[in-house]
Amino acid sequence: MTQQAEQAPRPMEIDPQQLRQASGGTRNRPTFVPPSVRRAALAMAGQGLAGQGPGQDIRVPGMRTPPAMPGGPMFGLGRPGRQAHVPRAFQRAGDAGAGRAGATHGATTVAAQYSVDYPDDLWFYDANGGWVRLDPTSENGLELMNAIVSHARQTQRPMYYDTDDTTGDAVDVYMT
Amino acid sequence: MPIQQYELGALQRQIQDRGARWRPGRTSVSELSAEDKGRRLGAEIPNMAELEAAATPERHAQARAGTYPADFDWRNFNGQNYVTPIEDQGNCGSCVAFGVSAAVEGMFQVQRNNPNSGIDLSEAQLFYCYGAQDGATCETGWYPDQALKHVQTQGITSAVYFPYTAGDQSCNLQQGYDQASVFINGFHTAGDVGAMKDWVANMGPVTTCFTVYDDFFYYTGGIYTRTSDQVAGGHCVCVVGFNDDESYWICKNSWGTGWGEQGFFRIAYGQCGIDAQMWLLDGIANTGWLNGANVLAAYASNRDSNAWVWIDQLNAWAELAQSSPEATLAMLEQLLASKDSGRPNNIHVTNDIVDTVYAL
Repeated sequence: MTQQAEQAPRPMEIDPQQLRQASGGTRNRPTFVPPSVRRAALAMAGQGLAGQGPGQDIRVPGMRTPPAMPGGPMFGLGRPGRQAHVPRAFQRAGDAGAGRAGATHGATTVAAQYSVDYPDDLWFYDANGGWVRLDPTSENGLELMNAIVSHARQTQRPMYYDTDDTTGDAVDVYMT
Repeated sequence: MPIQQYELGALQRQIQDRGARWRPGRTSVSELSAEDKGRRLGAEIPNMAELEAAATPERHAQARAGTYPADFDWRNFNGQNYVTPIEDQGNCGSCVAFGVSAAVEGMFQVQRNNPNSGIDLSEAQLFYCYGAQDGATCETGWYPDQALKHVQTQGITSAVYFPYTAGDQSCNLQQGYDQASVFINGFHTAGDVGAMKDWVANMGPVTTCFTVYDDFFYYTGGIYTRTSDQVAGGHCVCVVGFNDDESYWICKNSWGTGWGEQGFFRIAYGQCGIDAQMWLLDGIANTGWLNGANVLAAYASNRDSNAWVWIDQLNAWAELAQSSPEATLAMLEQLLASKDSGRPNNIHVTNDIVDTVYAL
């Protein structure tokens, strides 16, 4: 985690289930953000953190293609049991992820999301690994990723994501 | 010498004398007049004699370039048949249209990994619209290069919009045909048999043309080698497989299921110029409407407007158009909502890019 990420407002390091219990259930006004985090947010206001991501694109330059979908349709293609030959026509999507950097996580479910009155600071709770921030390099990219994360949380469908090795931020997300 | 009408016993002896390994019999075309047999062909191949002479079986022993198994058949790949049903060109020299459309249909099903797509393209559009523009008639025949160029640039629609019947006729496409057009990314020819097999086994069926000799009309099964010297004409078909162990190609003909092996035939390597050159399709261009499509997955990254969805009908990721960030986000949200509710979409893609969404 970089210094930037540490300074940014972030959700508490506790389980969303505990948060729900502490707040008295989902019908009540959430109390997800503790005073300490709120104070940190206020302290850092105006320090120019908004919109700054890792500072570089970890993906291969020019590569705008998503990786193969673990456990997804590519794996339902009748990949041969006895027959070893797999036509290249069937490998198109699988090849697309070549060159991806960073660590891949998933399949997981999104247990919670977090947003705060602070620029580009969106987090989700990986049920297997805790809070993860969405990389804010691109404002539009952040919106798109957040839409998918929201959908994954709403439907509790499996989600996968890649993180930047340096910042730990999620640099892409995909769901089935 | 005219096309011969064979007595089956005599033809059987002729086959035995030549050491050939195929069975003659009465077929859907064997009893036709010489003139009508000629109309079951229809490929104008300018230098076919030269090509045929150069297409020797020895080339197969030398060529092992590429990655392909020793035998391959798209009619049975992992238990699935990716080849569309046999058709009948009837009394018209339109074989080029059938040989090309069969390859496009086959590659479509392979590329989308959907052997039951139900795709049935309009050979009538190919021949009576595009072919007619090029001067092709039932009497003259056509050429694959021309047909494939039309499929690449103008597309070929569903047979629903112009069903095929044999006989020269005007281009009579029903309204809305262009909504169902399929395009190819391009095509190229190959003269190397290793490259041909590599393409067939890895990308999908291809188109080929060869010289038909007059015994071919009597083929009912086995591995065809010619036993006659009487040329009937040039013919185009679709190659769907091969077998190195027994040295034959597996081809889809367009003479109905009453000929050959339920409409297919196996022909020995190097015979009649079957592998002198083949026309290899460079993939199906995903352009057009996908009606009733479902989104199975979604992807986005930390880059501007970089959102993708996995569409069942494409069996692949398709990128959302990037003309405006707001539009990209809106399309993604609509498609995610459809995914969530299990509702279909009518999606228009242009070269694999989603540019219009009707979330239904």
